[in-house]
Amino acid sequence: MKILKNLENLSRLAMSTGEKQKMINVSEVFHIWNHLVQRYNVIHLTSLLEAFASDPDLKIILASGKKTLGKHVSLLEKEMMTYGIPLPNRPPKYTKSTVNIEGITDRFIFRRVLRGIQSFLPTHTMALIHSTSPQIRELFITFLIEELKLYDGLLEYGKLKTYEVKPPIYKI
Amino acid sequence: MDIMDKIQRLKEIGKSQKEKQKYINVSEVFYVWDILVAKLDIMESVQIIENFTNDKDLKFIISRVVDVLQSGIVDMEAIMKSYGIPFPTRPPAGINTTTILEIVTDYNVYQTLFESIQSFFPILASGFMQSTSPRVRKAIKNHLLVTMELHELLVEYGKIKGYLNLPPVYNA
Repeated sequence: MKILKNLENLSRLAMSTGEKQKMINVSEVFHIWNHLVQRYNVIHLTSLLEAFASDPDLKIILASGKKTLGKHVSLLEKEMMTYGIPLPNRPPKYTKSTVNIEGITDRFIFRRVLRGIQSFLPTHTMALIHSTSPQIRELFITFLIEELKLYDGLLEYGKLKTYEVKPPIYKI
Repeated sequence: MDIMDKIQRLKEIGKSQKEKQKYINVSEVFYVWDILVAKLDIMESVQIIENFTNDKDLKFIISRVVDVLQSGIVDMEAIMKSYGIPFPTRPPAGINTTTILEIVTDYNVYQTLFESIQSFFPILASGFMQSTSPRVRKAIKNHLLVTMELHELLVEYGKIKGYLNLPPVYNA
């Protein structure tokens, strides 16, 4: 609904933060805030895992995931500032560890990230169905689609590496 | 509906796995399998992150989380064995490391636990909604209830320690 989104953007131009707050509902506030908190956690986790990844392909996947997350974070922070929603604490800017933990294998990293995205998808869909403002809905749709694309690529990577755990087949 | 569960158990006495397979639907098979895989995945990350905990209370909370995960694994495995559902591969039994990671704090450990337990709700709820056999339904229901109690514990602990990110309040 691009036209409605543009209309909303235009009408927001001359508004104060207090007036803008009347345009969004409580659930939208929660979801924007919740997305940001979870994004911060995921960025911290991805940077941590990235240090332990040994496969170059996995490193590329993690880096591209982190780039997408960083983009989402700046969009969310901007929205929260616009509507005057209190922002949560941020994770450390840079986390790099030089130690090596053998328990953190590439398979574990794959499973952890895959499980992470799987558990994030309900958050995206709930955010989308609870939102009424066209502009915020558009934001959540973008997040959902980008997350789905990441998931799609990651699952295929897991299949190539045989890290994927396959569900039981129908009728042997 | 405990009586229905008992009736099903009586009905299944003396039946082969092949015969019993007729009593459960494909969705139940998937969810029992999926809950098990989710528990195994989460168990592995809890076992890794456990190594970086300093707080004694947090260690206690982790032991509660591990107990719940373990009971879930045992229950799901029992159902799978009874109906001849293939078992997934398992992660290592435990991970013990002497490495100290300064970038993983108690706050990060808590966030991992909190989000991991949260991620069970969509799986358990969908599994419960789509179960038609009393035995599987009861097993999933019990786990949903135990997970709810565990989540409450995590929320209250997080509030005491200040680890829990509280959403914006209404009408501040």
